[in-house]
Formats: sequence, C-alpha cells, structure tokens
Amino acid sequence: MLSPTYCLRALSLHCCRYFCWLPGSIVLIIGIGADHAFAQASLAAENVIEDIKIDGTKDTYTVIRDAARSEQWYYMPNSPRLYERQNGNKVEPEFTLLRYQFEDIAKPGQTLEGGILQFAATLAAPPETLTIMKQAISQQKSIDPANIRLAAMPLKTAKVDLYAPTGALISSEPFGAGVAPIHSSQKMVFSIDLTNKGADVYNALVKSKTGVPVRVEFTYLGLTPPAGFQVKVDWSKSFSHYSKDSEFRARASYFGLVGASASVSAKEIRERLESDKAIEVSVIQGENFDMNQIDKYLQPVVKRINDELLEAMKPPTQIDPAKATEPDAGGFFGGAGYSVATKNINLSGRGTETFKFNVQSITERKTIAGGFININKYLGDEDLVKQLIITASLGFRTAYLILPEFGTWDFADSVQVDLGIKEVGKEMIYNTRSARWRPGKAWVPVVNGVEGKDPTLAIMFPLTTLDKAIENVPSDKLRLVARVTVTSRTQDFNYEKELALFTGNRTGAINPRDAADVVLFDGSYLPWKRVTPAEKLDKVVITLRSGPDQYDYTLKAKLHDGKYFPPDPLAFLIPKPSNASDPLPIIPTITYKFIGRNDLPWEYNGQDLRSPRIGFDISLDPSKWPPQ
Amino acid sequence: MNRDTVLTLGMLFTFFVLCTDAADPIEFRLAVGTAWGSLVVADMNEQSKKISYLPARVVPVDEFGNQADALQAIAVGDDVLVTGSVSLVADSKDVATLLKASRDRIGEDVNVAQISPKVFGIWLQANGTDVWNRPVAAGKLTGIPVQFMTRAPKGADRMEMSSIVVLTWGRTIPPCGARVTFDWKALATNLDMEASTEGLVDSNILDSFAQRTIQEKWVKVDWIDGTASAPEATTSMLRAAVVSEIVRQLLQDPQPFPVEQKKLSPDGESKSKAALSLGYKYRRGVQVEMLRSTIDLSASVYLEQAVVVRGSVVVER
Repeated sequence: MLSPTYCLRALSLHCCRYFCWLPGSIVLIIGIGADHAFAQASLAAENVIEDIKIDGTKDTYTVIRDAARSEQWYYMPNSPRLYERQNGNKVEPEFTLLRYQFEDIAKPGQTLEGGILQFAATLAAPPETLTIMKQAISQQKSIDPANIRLAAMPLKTAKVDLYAPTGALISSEPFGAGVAPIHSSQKMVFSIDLTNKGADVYNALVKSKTGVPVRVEFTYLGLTPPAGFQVKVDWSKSFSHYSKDSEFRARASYFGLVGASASVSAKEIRERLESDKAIEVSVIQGENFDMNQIDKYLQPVVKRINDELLEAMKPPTQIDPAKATEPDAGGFFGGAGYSVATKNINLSGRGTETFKFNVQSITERKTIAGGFININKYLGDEDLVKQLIITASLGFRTAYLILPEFGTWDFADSVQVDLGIKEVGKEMIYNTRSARWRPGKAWVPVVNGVEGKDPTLAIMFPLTTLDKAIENVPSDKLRLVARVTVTSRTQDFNYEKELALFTGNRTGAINPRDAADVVLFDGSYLPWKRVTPAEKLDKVVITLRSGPDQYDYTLKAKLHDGKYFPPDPLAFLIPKPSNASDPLPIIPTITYKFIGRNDLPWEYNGQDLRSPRIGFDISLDPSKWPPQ
Repeated sequence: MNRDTVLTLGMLFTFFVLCTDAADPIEFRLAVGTAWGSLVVADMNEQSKKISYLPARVVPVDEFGNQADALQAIAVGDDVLVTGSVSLVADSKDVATLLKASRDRIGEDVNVAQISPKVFGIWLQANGTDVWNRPVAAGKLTGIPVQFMTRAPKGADRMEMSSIVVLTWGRTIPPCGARVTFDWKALATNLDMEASTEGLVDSNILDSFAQRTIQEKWVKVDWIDGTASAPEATTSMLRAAVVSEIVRQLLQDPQPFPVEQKKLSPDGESKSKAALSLGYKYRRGVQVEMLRSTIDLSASVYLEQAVVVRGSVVVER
C-alpha cells in the first residue's frame, strides 16, 4: 500500500528573525531532478478538485494543480472512453463488432459461429471538455479561465485490463491487456474473440448502458504538502547553556567545523539544547517526513547557533585565560590543544528567532480509471451502427482476412496488405484486394492505389465471383495469400504469408513480427544540440549487420513546425530466417557525432543484439558516456 | 525528554487492523476506525471539533451515479452475467446518527465531513468465492464498473452477494516517546516462518508477532524519558508502530483474508465460523539490505490505517 518515496526532496528553510536580523529565506533542493520538483502535481487537498461533471455525459474528471506553477492544472480522467476519429464531417468511434457464421469445414453440416470485437480506448479528454474543466476551476478557485493552463496528467506507468469474464462468452484472453501507453493521447487497442453466446451478449451490451468494462491502473508523481518543523531559538537561554557547559561547547564547535558529516553530534546538540529549553522544536505534521531526517535538516540551524555564540576555535596560545578554560572534550580538541569560547553576550543574538522548515517529497500515487465501453451514444445513427456491427452470415462463400491491430506500430509509416486467393499447389493468384494501415488511423481499403475513407476490420470477398478456374474448388483446397509491405523511415519490408481460409478462429491473423525481428532505438533521452543549444550531440549514425544484409540510418533531432524535437523511436525490421532456431547475429556499429566534442562509440558496438543483456528494445543512454 | 511535550515530528505508516461488518448491529462507539453501519470514523479531533468519516457501503448505481436497486444479471445458460456499476456511499441515516453522537460528545458546532480514502479495494463474493474485485488503489468512489459471470441461483430472480471493502486513510497521532530499533534479519527470518505456505500473514498473527518481537529483542525499545515500561495505551501504539514498520518493509498490500474462528456453542461443542481479517502477502526473497534501522516515536506520527468492511449487494435478473 505504501507509495515509494523518491529521493527527490524539496526543502525550504524560512528564517524569520524577530529582533536583530532582517527576515530572510533560503530554498534548498536536495537530491536529483530539481526541475521535477518544480513541475509536479500537488498532493495537497486544497489543490485537488474532484469529480468535475461534463454535462450531457457520464464523464467526470479530477483536476490537480501544479505544486509550483499556480496557473498549471492537470486533469485525470476517471474513466477511459471510446477513441473517436474524424471521418470527413463525422466523428466515428474506433469500434467494430464482427459476428460470423461459417460452415465448419471439419464438421460438415455444422456451423462455426462467434464474433470478434475490436475497439480502441483513450484516457484523453475531448477538446470541448477542457473548457468545461477550466470553467469549473475558475468558479471554485476564482481564477480567470484565460489564466488557467490545463494538460493531461503526466503518467509514470499505466496498465490496462479488460475485466470482461473469459469462458462462456470470451473464448481466449483478450488482446490488448497489459502495459498501457503513458501518454493520454495514445490509444489502447483491444481485440476480443467472442463465443457464439458472447457475440450475442456483447452485441446487446455494447448498445446498452453498460458494455465492455475497461480498467486502467496508472501511477503518477506528486509533491506532498509541506511538512516539517519549526525551531524557536531563545538566544538568552542558548547563551547561558553554551557558557555553562564547556564540554558541550567544545562538541558544538566541533560539529560546526565538520558540519554535515557529523550528524550524530547534531542529534546530541539538538537534544541537549531542547532539554535546556534553549530551543523549542514544534511539529508541522505531514506525509513522507521521517523523524530520522530531522537532525540532518537541523544542521544549518545548529551551525547558525554555533556561529552566533562561539568564538572561532583558537590555539591555546591565543586564548585569553579569562575567557576560555582548557578543553574538556577529548579527541580532536584535547589532542590538538584547541579551545572554544563563547562570545561576549552583547555581541550575540538576543530575544527569540524562529526557523521554519518545509519539506516536500515527490511520491508515487496509484489510481484506477475504470468505465464501460459502448456505442450507446451513436445508436441514433443507423448507418454508422451498421458499419460498426458487421454480420458475416452463412449462405454465401466468403474469403476473409481479419486485419491485425497495430497498437504499438507507430514507427511504421504504413502497412499494406494485398490479399489474393489461390488453389493449393498452383501458382496463379486471383481476385486481389488490398487494405492499408497508418499510425493513428484504422485500416482502409485500397482500390487502384487509392485509399478509401471507410475503415474496415477485414479484407473480404465473395468466393462466388471468383474466376471459373477455382469457382468449384472446395474451401479446404483454397489458400489466402497475404503480401505484407511495411514502409518505415529506415526501409521497406516485404513478406508473403499463405493462410487457410478464415473459419472463425484467429490462426489466419497476420503480423509483420511473425516475419521480422523489430529492433527499436529510442533516442529521445539524448541531449540533442538542435533541441537544447547548450548541448553538443548532432546525430547518431546507426549501422546494423545481419549476415549479408546491412541497414543504415542517421538519427537526428526532428523538425516540426519550425521547431526541433527529439526524434521519434526508430525501427529496423530484420527478416527472420526460415530456420528460427539458428538466427543470424545482429551486430551494431553506432556512433554519437558531436559538435565540439570527439565522436563516441555506443557501449555495445560489435556485440550481438540477440544477447539478452542488450535486446531489441534499445534506449540510447547518455548517462553511460565517459566524462568530457 | 518529557514525553508529553516532545514536539519533534516523525512520520509512520501504520495499518490498524479493524474488521467490521456493515451487516452486523451497529456499535455506536465514537472512536477512530469504528464502523457505523455504512461508514467508518476516520479521524476525530476534539480540539478542532472535526470528525471525518469514510463511506463504506457498496451500492449499485446507474450510469449517472444515482443509486439503483440492483446490479443487472443476464442469463447465459446456467450462469448469469452480472453487469453494472457500484459506488461507495455512506447512508444518510448513519451520517445523521454520527452527527448526533458527535454533537452530544463534542458540541453543537462540531464539523462532520466525508473524506475520500487514500486507497481502497472492493471484492464481491458469491457463495464464499471471489467473483470480482477492484484492486487496492486510489480512484473515484462512484460509478465503478462491475462485470462477472457466476452460477445462476435456482428459481430466484434476485441474489445477494457479499461485498468486502478495504479502506485505508491517513491521520496523525501524538508522540509516544520511544525509540525503536529493528533487527531486520531476525524479523524477516521469523516472519517467514509465521506466514502461510501461500505467503500470507494475517493481521492477528502480525499483531501477536509484534508482541513477540519485543520480547525476543528482535525489536529493541528505548523509552526516551528513561522509564522501563509504559501504560497500555502507549504500548498498544508502540505495537501498532512495529506492525506498521514490518508491513512497510516486509509485506505487500492488504487484502481480505478469511480466517476460521472457533467458538464454543452452549452445548460445549466447538464450532467454526468463517471470519474476515486483513491479510498481507509476505515478500519472500526480500533483500534485507539495511540490517538494522531505528524509528523515533518521540514525535507526532502520520499513520495509515486500514479497515475491512463487509456488506452485501443485490443482483437482479
């Protein structure tokens, strides 16, 4: 249950002097990631507005203010919703329910029935709801909506689950559950194989007020409300304490000399001062503040007290005998013969002084957004519903290829499938149909090289219209031939796959990963000069060799709307050999090219990427660079 | 250092283990962690005159979050698909009862308010078996989607399911004036022996283990004011702190944990009764890197508390 606390801590020390000194304040940031400390969601109750309702919908949002920038707010969806895309003037959900009924080739006279439900969900708020959220913030916090900045909550991790029950309704584990995107704008794609009963039940459910339940469990980082403590120093009592106790004075001085490394001394000093009422430490309760840290944070105060009350350590020869006695504390003082004296009371502080410490820590919070996915709101548009729910029924022979969902194939520019049909053992391919997929869009049919507008879940064509040569060939003697072309920044990749006709199971699915190993390079964490001028990295030259093949690409910051950004992840598709048990090594040669610094080789150059310690999902990491 | 005036701050996560049953007769005891029917008293500050409570009853709701009579059940052969949404609510009559009790004790100007749990989990059970659960996490209390299959009750259109809610929340408590040193190697070894073969540690075991740890010196207690012992109220807080630290270091999220309670019936026969406790999964293989650590209870401490509340939800065909 406990959220891990990160090493990031923001500590502010406010010093309020009531007598001799001017008020002042010091802000200290301890640990790494200081920038994060000042761009974090606040976890203080007053900075959270829960359950902002969006009129006319069942959607609600929670908004959280940034801990440092008061104008910045983050919204957190309370439930995922169906992903919608713009099709001309129409908004359409990314949702298809295919119900099918085929002749069972294995059991003549019987039918194979079921369904496939595919949809995409998102956590992003529709643009019109942002205005409503801003208005709600404005009303509750009396801020001009024009001065409110609103963005999706940056997520640290996300995991998605369909918790529809498998068994009688769902025939296998749904595709799409597991790790979810951490950017709210990215969609989560699901594909569910339904049994005969499941197809009926979910056909009814998705038109009802419930539907398919989706749950996204995510974590985010937030800054706890200020916690800490307040120290009130009574200077008269402190002076008296230091004056009377020479051993204590010596220890306190020793602490002042070595500072932070002497935390045990700090603890002793604090306790002795407290017991003598020289200082009073009072509490500001809060989360994630450990009592054991108090002395570390008190060190600056103890040091201040020492500086105010003690003379600098002096060798015995310089000590005025009337002021200083022989040192009582052993060790360093005794051995070195140094001694410490208190200052003249008139030169020391008087009255009281209060130090206030505020400690905030960055903490991970886990939360759940859950909701039903349904097409209830589109039921008024009959034409659209017919597009969303397709029935392939018995009565005519149809060749189908269920098109795959590429939820995480954003590195590809496009994937095209050309589907034909042939008789087993013959070369001739008939009746080619095509469909194309692009990142962020659905599959669309391609006719004469032109992309259609209406999205499709499958390539299908009736066998009754086939060439007379195969018109009467039994279904089990026919094969689909899928030619797949993946176009990406690095290469065009082609392969061909022969499949049995679709008979209600998913064995006929295609996935380019069946034919290729995908090696991904993420250079978004690198310090690109074009993104940040103070940095020096210009480009990364990547070469991969696998057997006789060589793949080259130069990774650079990308230009978008006149501004440079870190590059998108880059993928190489390395064909899988026919004998998968003996794959060829993939040997990288990667060079970081700088402006104003010598080239650097990648730390794994010359080593096989198939090694488990390197792998195919590679994040180029500048922390491994040697110092300049 | 005087325990009453110790003013330094400490923070501690502690799970007070309280198992209550929303369906049982309500015990009107105004104390933190007590269930009052459909709510749990979360915090009580007589000085600031503030009382907070957590909603604890699972109720079916419609798509807009309005309370509904039942979850919907769709027949699928011999089974039913149960679908709908639930919310965690506190009944208005229980809130009114709490308000009256609070006014009687603290005064007319007492402020009684609902707060959200820091995290919560919900389990639904049919015939003693878990059929659905919402993992323990933060999130909205209303419109939580539910869907599961279960065996259809014969000849009945309505069925009642058990709901189990685990709620955790944070509050601060005053100092108890002790410094506690943990020997993690001894604790990890001995707690592993207490855990079930599935690696579960029930809260009752944990509580008795906490007492043993002090007796066996796996946890060393130094009272800051020099006393050799302390009043019961203080030692119970110390035990809670020890449990808290053990949970934090060695265990995982709480979950409902069925325990068998044996009771003697009037005729002298021992009868078993299934009860509910909080259980924690033991983190086997945990690396006890820091072999010893100390917590200082000479400060106000921030505690996390957990409670289990049992109730029921109606499902209708």
